[in-house]
Amino acid sequence: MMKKIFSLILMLVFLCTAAVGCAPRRTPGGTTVDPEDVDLNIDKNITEEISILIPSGNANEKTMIDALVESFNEIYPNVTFKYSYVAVNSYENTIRNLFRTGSLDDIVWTNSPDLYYLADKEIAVNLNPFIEASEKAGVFTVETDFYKEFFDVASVNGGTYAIPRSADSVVTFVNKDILAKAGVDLDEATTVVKDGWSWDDFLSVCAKVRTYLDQNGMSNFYVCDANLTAWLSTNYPILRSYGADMLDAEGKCAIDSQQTRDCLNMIREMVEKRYIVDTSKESASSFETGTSAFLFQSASISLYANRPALKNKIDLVSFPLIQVAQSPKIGSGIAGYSINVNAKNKNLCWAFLNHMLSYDGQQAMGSNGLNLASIRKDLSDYKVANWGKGYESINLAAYLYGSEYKIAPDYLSRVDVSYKSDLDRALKTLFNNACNMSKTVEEAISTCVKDIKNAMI
Amino acid sequence: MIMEKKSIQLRKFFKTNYTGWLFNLPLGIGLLVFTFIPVICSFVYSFMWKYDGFTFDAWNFKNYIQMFTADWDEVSRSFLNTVLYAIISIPLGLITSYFLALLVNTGLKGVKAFRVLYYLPVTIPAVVGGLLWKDMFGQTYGIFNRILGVVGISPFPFFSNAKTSLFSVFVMNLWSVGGGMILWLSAFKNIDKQYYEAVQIEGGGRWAGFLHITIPMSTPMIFYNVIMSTIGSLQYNGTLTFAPNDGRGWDDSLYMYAVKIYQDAIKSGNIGYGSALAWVFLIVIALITVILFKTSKWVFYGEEA
Repeated sequence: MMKKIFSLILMLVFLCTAAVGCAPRRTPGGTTVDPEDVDLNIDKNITEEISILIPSGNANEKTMIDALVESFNEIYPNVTFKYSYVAVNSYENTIRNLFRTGSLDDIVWTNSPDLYYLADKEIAVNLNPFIEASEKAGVFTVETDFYKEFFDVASVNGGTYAIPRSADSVVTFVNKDILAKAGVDLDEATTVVKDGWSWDDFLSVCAKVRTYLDQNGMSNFYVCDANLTAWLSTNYPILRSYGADMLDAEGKCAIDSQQTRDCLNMIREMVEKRYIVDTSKESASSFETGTSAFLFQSASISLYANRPALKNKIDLVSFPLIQVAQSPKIGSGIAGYSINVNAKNKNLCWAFLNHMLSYDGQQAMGSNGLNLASIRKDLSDYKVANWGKGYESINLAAYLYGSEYKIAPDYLSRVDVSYKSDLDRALKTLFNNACNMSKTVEEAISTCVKDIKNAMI
Repeated sequence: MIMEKKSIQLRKFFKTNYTGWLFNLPLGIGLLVFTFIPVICSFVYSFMWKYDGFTFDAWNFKNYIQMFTADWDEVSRSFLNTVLYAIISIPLGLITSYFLALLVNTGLKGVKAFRVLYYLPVTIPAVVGGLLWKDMFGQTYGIFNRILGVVGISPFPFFSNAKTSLFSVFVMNLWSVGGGMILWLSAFKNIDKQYYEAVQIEGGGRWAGFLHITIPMSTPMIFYNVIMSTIGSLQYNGTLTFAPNDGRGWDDSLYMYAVKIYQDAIKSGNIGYGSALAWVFLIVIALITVILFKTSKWVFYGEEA
């Protein structure tokens, strides 16, 4: 009898615990902050702790925020900061678990694709009331003080869910040494390798480099680093430049089009001419090791310029403009910071983000040596601003070239955010198959159609 | 009066059993928190349509229906891949580890070193092993293709081609047969030497000893290994660490059912659907296990059993 009662009690405890553990959670208040609750005049002597979630395995992000914190503490000396870390490849899962258990940090690092998740799941605060209050108080004007296109990338359905900490745009990293040896004209006055160069210019340079590599016993090297077709921030703009898209305005699959075929045929031609690697093979060369002439990246110049194989050999130019559909695109995105809807003191968090956007804050971040382009227009001169320090001889203006061409993978705004990872994979697979010469363009497209449909079940 | 009696009984029950309960408590709490509650939760989630960890649209059976309708293409593909993998990997693993155990179950000098060598890969974490093999199977720089190149043979694609991916996984899995070998060895060591002596007296040789003593006497371990490797193979998700295309392999050639559960529940955040996939899979595995038990008359448990 006693055993039965005891078992019953245990069972009840078990079921109650399970019920509590299983219960779905959602923030009752949503993401909107009442404009009347926005306070820009926080007591400078406030004593509080802010927790920040930053990407793990990225020492540069940490040192950049360290520099920003130091600068912020000059204004708010009693505010302390606590860091925690998130692995970028398990971002959503980590954020979901932290948020559900109420342990997500006050300020959360994010980037342009993951931003949709924070907005859709009502994890991040819509920062519009803070931005409007700051504009009203004359702190800044987004339109005139910043590169607004990055704020546009940070907005979902009219709400701004993150503040971009820098101007991240895909540029062409050029190995001048290889180009010079290949006989490419690099004279500033006459060269085609300059900001605003066209895709045709780029292909003509590729042809010269290919000839040089073949004539000098480097036939197993490729002109471009493999990431040209393996990265969403490069392959999506290429697709869009041809007038093609993943989804139409209603969020339906739109990949099966003549424009997509034209785009993929161009890619295959590049594979056939061995400008880029056939994905069924491994690339024997990479930009990092000094064995490829071009790399398309948004990363900071400092990550590459000091590598032994590249020292004094690299320069930057803008991403080549594809004029086929008269609407060239350049990949861009944001890395920035959001405020958790459950943050204890949202006004203080905003004060920190506001400082991040300020002249002093941007200069402080630029002093850590990461050399990411500033989001502020008055710091665009990299020969003067901290973010260009040490690299004045390199064309860092390439990062800021062509505001009108900038585009992020925006198809997520047209569908349920839960489709994200499968849609991203569908696009990657499309380009991967296009670069695989054992497959046809039609096979690549039909696989992509199937993948998109499966993604949106 | 009755209440007082029950109270005394309860106190007596705790007094006589508390040591045992205390010893079991850490394990009990661990099982409750990390196994039973998640299991119950996943069962509840499986009825939540579009549950993403935050909200859900409705309570219904749509997650289960979707598996056999809209998502049937992917579900069936991943399931067939898993079954194919299990059908080949289970006998391959069992037979190779069995014969390896027979080889090292001798009194030859230095055989202990071989036992250690064969078992050593098992001590390396699966993730590290996966990354190592990904590197070794590299098409241009992988050690195997370099060796092939030295002798003038063109590179083998391994994981870079849908047709050779699964074969490469089987080769890779041979790396850890040492785990099975240890189990076989323990079974062999438990066989009474008198049986072999009896075979010799009857005029039988080594082969007769193997056929009539070793195999029948190790059938309980064979059965245990069949059960464990069946469950393990069906749950295989090791491709996540080394296969391209998010662990699915080229053209989904390595897309296993457990990988699909992971992709749907964790990567896509569709926890409700992932839970439904897992529960259906649990039923399938349970059915297979029941069938294996029902057909286990060939297992020899000794005369008394």
